[in-house]
Amino acid sequence: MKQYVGEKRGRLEGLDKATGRALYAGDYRMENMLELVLVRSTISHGSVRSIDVSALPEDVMVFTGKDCAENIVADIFCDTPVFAGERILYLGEPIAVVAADTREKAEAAAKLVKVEYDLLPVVRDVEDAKNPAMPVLHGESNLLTDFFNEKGNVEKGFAESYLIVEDDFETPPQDHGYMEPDACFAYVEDDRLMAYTSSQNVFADRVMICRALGLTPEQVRVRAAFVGGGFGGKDGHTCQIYPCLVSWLTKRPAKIVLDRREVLACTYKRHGIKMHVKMGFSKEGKMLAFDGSAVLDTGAYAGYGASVHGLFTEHFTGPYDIPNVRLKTETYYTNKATAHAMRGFGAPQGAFATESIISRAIARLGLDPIQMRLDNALEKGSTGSLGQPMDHCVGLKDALKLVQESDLWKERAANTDPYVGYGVAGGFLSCGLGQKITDNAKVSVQEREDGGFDIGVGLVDIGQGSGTALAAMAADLLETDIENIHMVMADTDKTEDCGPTAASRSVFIAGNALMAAVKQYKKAKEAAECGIVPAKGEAAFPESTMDMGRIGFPHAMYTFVAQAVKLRVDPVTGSVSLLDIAAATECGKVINPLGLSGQIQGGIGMSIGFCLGEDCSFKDGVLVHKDFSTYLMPTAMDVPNIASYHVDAYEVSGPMGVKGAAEVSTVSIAAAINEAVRQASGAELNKLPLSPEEILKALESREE
Amino acid sequence: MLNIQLTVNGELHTILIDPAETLLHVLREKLGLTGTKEGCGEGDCGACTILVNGKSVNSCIYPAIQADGCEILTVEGVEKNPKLARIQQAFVDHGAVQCGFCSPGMIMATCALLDENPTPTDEEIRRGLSGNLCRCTGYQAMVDAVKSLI
Ligand code: FES
Ligand code: FES
Repeated sequence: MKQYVGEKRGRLEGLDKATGRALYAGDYRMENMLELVLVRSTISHGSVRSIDVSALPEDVMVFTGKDCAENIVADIFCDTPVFAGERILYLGEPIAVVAADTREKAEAAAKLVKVEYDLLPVVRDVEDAKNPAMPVLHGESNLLTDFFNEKGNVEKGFAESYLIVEDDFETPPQDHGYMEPDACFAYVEDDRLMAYTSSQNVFADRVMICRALGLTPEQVRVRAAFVGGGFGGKDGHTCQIYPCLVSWLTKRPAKIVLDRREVLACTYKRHGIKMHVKMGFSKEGKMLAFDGSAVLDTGAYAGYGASVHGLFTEHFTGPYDIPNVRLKTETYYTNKATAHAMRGFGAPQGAFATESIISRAIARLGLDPIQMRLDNALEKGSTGSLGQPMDHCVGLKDALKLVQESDLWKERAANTDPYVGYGVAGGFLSCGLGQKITDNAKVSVQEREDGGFDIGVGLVDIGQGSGTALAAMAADLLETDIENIHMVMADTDKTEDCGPTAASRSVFIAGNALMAAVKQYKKAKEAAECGIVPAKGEAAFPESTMDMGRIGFPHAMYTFVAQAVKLRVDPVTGSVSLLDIAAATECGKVINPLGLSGQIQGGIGMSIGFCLGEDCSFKDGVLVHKDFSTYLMPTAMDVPNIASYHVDAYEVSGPMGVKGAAEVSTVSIAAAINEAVRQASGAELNKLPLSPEEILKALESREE
Repeated sequence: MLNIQLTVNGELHTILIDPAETLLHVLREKLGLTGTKEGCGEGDCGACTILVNGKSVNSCIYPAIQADGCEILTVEGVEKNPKLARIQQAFVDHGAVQCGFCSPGMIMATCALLDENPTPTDEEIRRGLSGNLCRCTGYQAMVDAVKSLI
């Protein structure tokens, strides 16, 4: 029998997408459909005094919070209104939605809605948020959450250190940059509300829709349309409630598609973070002490801010065995678009700071950058920065060795160009939702009349390829051709709640549930001897054995990377050209090497943007770079050749040996680039995106 | 309002348009050809790339009126041409299709690139695709896919 697991394979639905047949939410349309445009606030902080819609043409409708059964978005904190009114907390917050039979008409009408405001001072950043003279955005203070922990004795660790390196670092917010703008299409059929969403969790969509509209789950069916990327940004409240509300109230089909400027200005972001890192090293380069503090800017609403805070903290030290660790982190609300989950979940920001410090220490101690990291790397049996046990498969050393053996790294010694630099960094990322969060899945296996199988999984394949990976696993488990496997995914009528497509959990959790379902199917099949038997299987994500009393961290398992870059700085302009990248990943058993390489290369592309171009900062609550001509995501010319190396590993708790992989790719490259820039120019940079002016200044002072 | 004539994927259409309408709007809203995507609507991302008389253009900023009398090729037409359909298969086989939202535009850009230069170097491939953003792949798979075709 042919084995599919381990084989290179393009997306099963690839041709549907490549031919344009695949329908994304914005591609749906129906007779008599309404198109929607949001009326958004033009202030960052204050309240609505009045809304005047008298100038609107008669064939246009307007809906506000009064039309909702409950003007609340059901999520973890339930602090976000569907429509803002009493309180506006960021520029571009939805106030009303306009519906017309064309988008052009709706757009024109939205501009005729007159809103008057009462203004409040804008909480621009964390400094403002901490200032007692500034307004409080939620509850009693602007602090969303904080954390303090000390493992070992940090002062003693520093006292024993031969070298101490410390500095301040800053990373700006980043936009997810998914190419498909947020969208949703809804219609009413047989008294039920039907929605196609561009989302990472159709079951959470249904909860949100039901609460805002006052419906029962039976009254609503949510299906994921083809999703044009999410990266965390579609795991929450995007725009799915608006067409559902309008469609339910008018009984007409309704569609919303955000435009790119709305997406950039108003949707979720990666957290901007200010950090201070101090590390102590022995003469041989052993990491003896780590003292890290940070403030995260979470914007207007909680979103996943508390979870990102937890993961940022958990990953701040990097994947190293450090005996003495002190962590102090705080997350504050400000008047900006909400910061939320984004691929890497806080880890890339911390890695930029910590790995930069490590690289500078290596340079001062005259050590080998890979050997020094090998000497400090976590391994199975060691403990993490919080004291959590590393009981699973820990392959950082193998990943580092693969980079050491790569062509990129081997040619390093022969380089003679003074403007060329080489940098490397390690990284890790947890898999699963973490301590005390329900993290399970139910998968169904249903034999079909044609001899094939329907595999029901309530997760969304947002483009990362979980459907293709699970189909390969199902084909092997059921001993059949992959053509006989039909994936039925993300449909609240046809699949069971499997939680979010997030936390690098999909293939792990659904794979384990799939294995249980296949086992159940085989047993039933034997007992029944003939006929078609349905079967279901369940699985839960393993939890860390360490409980700190916190929700969401620590985790039971991590995925590891080592990433190296070769680049050249331009002595005239200070700009950086990336020449080559070698990336090694240990994520347990590799189901589809082509799929994994794609996840790694894509995540690296995203973090090249984070490092060199994408600046999503807000000035007085207003986004500075408002469109794709100024918010610069990498093009094919900015990203070099990326070789993806995979450690051959096996995680016993994972299905067929798997761990998660989709996010860890984003963690390390920014720090590797920063180190290579330091070598090539002498610039020790602490702020992203890296500034060509600073690089030029460093080059000039080096040449003097 | 005025009438224009377009040959889209080999079929002649007479279409009533608003003088300010974009070609993308005509394709998606009037002809129902939703394979062509809108990622930005401002000419910055390439998701809406199509060929007008063999040249690749961003249809979101291309006035429909200017295409009067022209031959238009969209991703829906690529499949019907076996030579060009190879590009679609190569994209799938090399992992260049992830979420797929950029794929129609990328594939059209590749049609134009290979038409102008059937044997591009890596650098020329990257330059040829640099008007099209992709957030999923890091572009390596696209370069591999295009290379497999030369
Ligand atoms: S949609 Fe036309 S360039 Fe972006
Ligand atoms: S495949 Fe998703 S944007 Fe290119």
